[in-house]
Amino acid sequence: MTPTQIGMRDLRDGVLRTPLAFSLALRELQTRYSRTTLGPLWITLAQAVWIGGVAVVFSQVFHQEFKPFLYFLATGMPVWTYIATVMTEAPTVFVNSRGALEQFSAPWTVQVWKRLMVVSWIFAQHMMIWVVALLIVQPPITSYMLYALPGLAILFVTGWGAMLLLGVLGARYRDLQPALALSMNFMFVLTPVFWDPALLGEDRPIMTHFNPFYHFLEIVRGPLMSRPVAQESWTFCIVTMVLMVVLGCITFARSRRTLFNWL
Amino acid sequence: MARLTLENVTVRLPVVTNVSQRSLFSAAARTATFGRMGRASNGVGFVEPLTDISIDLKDGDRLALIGHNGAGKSTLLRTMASIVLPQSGRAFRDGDVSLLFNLGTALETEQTGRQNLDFYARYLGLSKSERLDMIEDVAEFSELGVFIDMPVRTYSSGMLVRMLFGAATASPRDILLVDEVISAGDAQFFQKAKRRAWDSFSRGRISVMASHAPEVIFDLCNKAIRLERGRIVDEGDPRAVWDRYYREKTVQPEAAAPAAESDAPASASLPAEG
Repeated sequence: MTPTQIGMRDLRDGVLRTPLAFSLALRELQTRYSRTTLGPLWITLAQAVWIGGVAVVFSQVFHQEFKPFLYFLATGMPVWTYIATVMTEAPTVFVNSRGALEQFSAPWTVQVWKRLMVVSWIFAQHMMIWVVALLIVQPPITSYMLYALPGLAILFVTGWGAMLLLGVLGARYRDLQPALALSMNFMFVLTPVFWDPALLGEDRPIMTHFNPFYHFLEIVRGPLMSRPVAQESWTFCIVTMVLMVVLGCITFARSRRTLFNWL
Repeated sequence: MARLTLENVTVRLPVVTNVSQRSLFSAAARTATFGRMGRASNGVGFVEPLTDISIDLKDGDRLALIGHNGAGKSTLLRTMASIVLPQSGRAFRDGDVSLLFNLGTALETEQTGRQNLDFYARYLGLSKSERLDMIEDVAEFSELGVFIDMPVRTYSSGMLVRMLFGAATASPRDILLVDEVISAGDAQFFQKAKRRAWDSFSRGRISVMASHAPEVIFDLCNKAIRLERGRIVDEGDPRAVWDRYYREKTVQPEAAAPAAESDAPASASLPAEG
């Protein structure tokens, strides 16, 4: 078998071994909060405190109604955290699992699945805050909200592809991780997470057109707020998803021969 | 039937000798300036830890790898396990592998021995009842007693070795690859480990082990090859190969000593131009 074929087979076997990835993800979450009393509740709590605090302060600074703003934040913030975590943790997917790659002859892409599951679990915990906000604010429930489901699917599949791609690149280029961490801090302010672009009316600023993260945020947040999502956003996200998965698979398969040596 | 074949395998690995070579920015700068910038800092060299290796192993073969540190033994085992893939030549494997390399790098020290063993077994893809059997087996072998339910960070290094060695030999696959682990631990454990390894080796259909301990090699292996600078320089009966190796080592101590001490690559070259 050529190295590329071994890489392709790894991608396939990684799918077959998702139960292993699931138990590994569970173990990581367990150990992260072992010896704490509140355990994984800290994940939800930290986000809830942040959202609550920002909602109180910014609704006054921007002279907005508290309840709609709280709902806006509680819907967008978990999605943003998911995107930012994927981007900052992806470059270390393979680097941090060197021991496991060397000791077990399991597919290497299991590590990608594991990381995606950990990040998704944290996302699910953050969405608990959205549920609470939904109960407090009681916005109109519409069938349009269901569009958030395909939005989420696109978000997760893109996350998988991006992790595979950035995981390989991050092993080869060690400053990718700090560079991405820095950029995501910057993008957090630039992307309408805690300010609402709808307030700016017709003059939508440029960062809502040429900002890839905005579109991914919008395909989940838009439906959940019963706000129509621009066709532009759906198209962009689907194209990016396909691109990420294809590029990720090709990069992994082609780099499989030397990948271990970069770790 | 298990089979492990290497045909004229050469492994060549890039080695970063310059920090900027790991930098995305300098890579981008090189591309943007058509290689003018960063030419001076070109720090990717290559090592060739294995050159033109051909091995053919079938059921019942228990191969010993003999050679100095840096002769290519570990790389050969990693190539057999498909962790490292050859630059040229063909590596073919029919059968599942289990590995005993760098014991303990995948441990979760905050979790108990039992939990860690459970994960070990999950990685092997064992069913729930098989996992329980394996944990019982390892607990008994490693004599951990009540420590099996304590966090691994509380273990002594001897306990760790016993547990991990027990785990790696508990459920042998078709092909067992071992790198220098049996010699760890105290004398009493050594005897016990040897018995268990024997047992495990005879169940595993092909085994390959790298070792510096002649008694281990003589007891456990029925074939041997000797590596020198990434090439096979001698092969045959373990005792004969070892004797020739040992004689050379003692006859020319000054020639052998530096090679034994350094982990220098078998052969290395820097590319002329990036």
